[in-house]
Amino acid sequence: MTDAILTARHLTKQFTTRGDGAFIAGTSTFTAVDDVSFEVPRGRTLGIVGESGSGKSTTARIVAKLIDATSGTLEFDGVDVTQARGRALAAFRSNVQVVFQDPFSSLNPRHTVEKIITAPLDYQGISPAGGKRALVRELLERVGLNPDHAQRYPAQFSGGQAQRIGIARALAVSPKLVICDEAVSALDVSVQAKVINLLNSLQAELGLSYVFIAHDLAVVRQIADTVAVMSRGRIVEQGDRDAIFERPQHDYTKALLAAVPKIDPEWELRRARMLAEEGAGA
Amino acid sequence: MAITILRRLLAAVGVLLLISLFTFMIFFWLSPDPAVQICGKTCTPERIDQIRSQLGLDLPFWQQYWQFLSGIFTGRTYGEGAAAITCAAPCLGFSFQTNESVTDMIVARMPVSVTLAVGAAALWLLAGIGGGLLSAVKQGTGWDRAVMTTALAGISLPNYFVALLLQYLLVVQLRWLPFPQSVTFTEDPLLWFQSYLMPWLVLAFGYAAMYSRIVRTNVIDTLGQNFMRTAKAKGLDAPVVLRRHALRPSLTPVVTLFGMDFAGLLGGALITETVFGLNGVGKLTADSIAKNDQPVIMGVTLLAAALVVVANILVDVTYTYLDPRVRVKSA
Amino acid sequence: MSLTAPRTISIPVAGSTLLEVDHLTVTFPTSSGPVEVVKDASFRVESGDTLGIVGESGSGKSMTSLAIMGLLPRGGTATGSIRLNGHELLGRSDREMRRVRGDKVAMVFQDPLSSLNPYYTVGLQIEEAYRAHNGGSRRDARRVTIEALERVRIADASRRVDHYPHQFSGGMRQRIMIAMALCLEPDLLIADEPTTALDVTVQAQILELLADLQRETGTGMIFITHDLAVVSQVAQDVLVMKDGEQVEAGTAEQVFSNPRAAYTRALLAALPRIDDPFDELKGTSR
Repeated sequence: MTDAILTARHLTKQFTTRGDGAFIAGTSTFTAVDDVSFEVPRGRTLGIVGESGSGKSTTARIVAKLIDATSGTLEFDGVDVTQARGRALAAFRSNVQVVFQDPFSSLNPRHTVEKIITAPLDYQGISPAGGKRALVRELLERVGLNPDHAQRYPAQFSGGQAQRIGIARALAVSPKLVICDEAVSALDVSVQAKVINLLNSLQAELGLSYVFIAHDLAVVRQIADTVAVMSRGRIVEQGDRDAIFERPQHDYTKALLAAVPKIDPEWELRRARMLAEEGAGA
Repeated sequence: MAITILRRLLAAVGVLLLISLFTFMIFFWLSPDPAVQICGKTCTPERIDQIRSQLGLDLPFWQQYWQFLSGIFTGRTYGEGAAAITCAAPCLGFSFQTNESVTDMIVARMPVSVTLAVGAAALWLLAGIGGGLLSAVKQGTGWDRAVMTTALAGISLPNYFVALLLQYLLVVQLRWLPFPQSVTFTEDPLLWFQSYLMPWLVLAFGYAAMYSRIVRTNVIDTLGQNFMRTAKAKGLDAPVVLRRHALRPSLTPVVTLFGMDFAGLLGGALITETVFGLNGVGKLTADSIAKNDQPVIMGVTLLAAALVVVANILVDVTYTYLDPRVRVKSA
Repeated sequence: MSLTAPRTISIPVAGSTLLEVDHLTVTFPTSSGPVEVVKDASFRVESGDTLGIVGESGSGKSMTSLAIMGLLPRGGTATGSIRLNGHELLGRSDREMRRVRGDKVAMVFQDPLSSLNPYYTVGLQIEEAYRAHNGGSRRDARRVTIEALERVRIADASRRVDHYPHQFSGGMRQRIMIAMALCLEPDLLIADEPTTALDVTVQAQILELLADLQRETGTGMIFITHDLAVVSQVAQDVLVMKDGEQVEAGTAEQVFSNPRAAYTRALLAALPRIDDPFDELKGTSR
């Protein structure tokens, strides 16, 4: 058994939709997450993949304790946090941070970068040792932004830069676990690659653990150590990344992998040779 | 659908009961004793007690409320013997100041309020939707600015001020219209129309101003929707694109607004009716408040509430038919 | 082809040039002077073939397609030349362009839900496209509509034709958009990120459908996307755009196996892959 930073056991989330009191009668129950169990190994990345309606985002919200599960338990760093409230929840929040999909809508446009990044510190009532300003500079530098831009506003940054600000904000409270909910989905492919590299190097430097939720299987392959495949609220298959991608067992995983568009391997091979030759010639 | 409408109606009855209870409570505890008002200035305490017991005012609150409520459905009788006053169902109360049943007073003034509301509504829909549409389609041009400046004036200028200004201009200065008089349509159609024209205009101005701004916003929003691009990409004519694809999404929300506004007006346009001396429900309300004739105030309050509640149901039902996303469940 | 529309269907000879775009420049006025969002783009689309235009956000790929449709947002102007079957499209009046739109050049957009009007049935929205160009009775239009829905493989088309957009799934909605675009047998279909908003399994189905329909009708296609892997599968020719400029053009094989532009190489290097052949390949080729 590996050392798990986060353990989810039998998580289930049901949403009850009530009639609108006017024209839609009765109530109906919808099970968004259905008996989901997984572990996030310490210092590693669990990738959760699935299509729309698979329940992956609801799972992310449960794990981040933004919503409560209907049943099941959540254990963080050996402590049961399923029912955590008040001080226990605050402690959890300083250990677990979330990076969202749309970088701009998750950053307050009226606040400076410095204010955005230090907001989680203020909520937690933490005052960093070297002062806030120094911490902001350090964090900006760490995520590859110019530390002199701390007084700028989100609108002055590109999408990729804005996502880096989101990551810097998540890192401000020195979390142990970062939940990335489609964190690179809205980014252009070249920007996406840089943000993935950043996440990978932050993990190596800081020993972070990630829950990385995405619909894009290729992106998950770049970053995850273990992978859970979700469909209709359930995890249909989970395991080691290479096992999932190379020897999928479940029909759904196979269908999902088969559907991913690929460049003709012959072309890829020729390009690789061409680049290698040019590299050798130069 | 039938069942849900029935459920809505039941809920509406509940709401109306609550409103009647609250209104009754307010008048029961906060207004001066009607017996004193009826008795006049030279009045002995014995006489007051006599009146109170005659009118049932000495009964406990719940009994009085029950009398009021049952009166609406079965009618009621005040006092006994030869002095008894009968108030036929639906009895909303009896005004001892005017010696009339409140229901009769309202019914007598209803036609004026309805005429005012219908005429004004026609005008404001025409001007509001037309102006808003023009403004949106010609966004940023002189047309847009002209409509929006006028709308700003309509929203910020108080009703009575516009009324007085219009009266001064059209009647006193330009003499285009005669002094408004209370005639019925059958007596003198032209004078009837001329007399109502100004109140219609004044009332419609404020609403048209608000509606044109809302319609403008809605249309501009719709014009930016992706389905407008699709409609153009199909090669549809510009007028078809506007009429078929922009208008319906833009105007459907206006239905809700209109239903409530219109219902509100049927309950009386207090200021406009008073300024123009139109004897409608609004003026009745104003007069009754001035005279502290509480049964009447209570009656018109209940009527206004009932109108809004009914309009609310009608609007919701209409909306379900207008917006397929509400009407048809997704597959 | 099962369609029996009351018009003669001419299947264009494959390989004949359908669309010729030369020195296309699209300019928008801004407070700091005019900005060129497309700079001097030139390309060809052959009948029955697919040209893929790839680029990241702000590359000008969507503006190129809107320029062909004559649907540039307010203030945008296009210069250069756009010839469809040898006829110049630029400089035509809006009235003349309306006859081209839908009938000669049709378009499928990224987000099928917002691209359909929620207030009308899908049938009506396809019918109106057909009738805008062919006139005829509603009955004819309805028959063509149902046939078009059947062609895009919507089950129970004669019943589904009276449903509203929100009653369909995302993939079904995109099929409806495709039916709408193809019911008039256009010479050229412009698909602007048609599968970007869809799940990957649905994307595969839509791509297959587009390929099948293209084989049946011989329609030329411009496929705009940010996804290099998708474009490698659907296009014979590929154009790579960056900041309004065309940085690379060639056959798909050329562009993917022997990219000349540094930007194309960088894009390909950044592309995350599901079956990472690159790591192994790097090893073997060294």
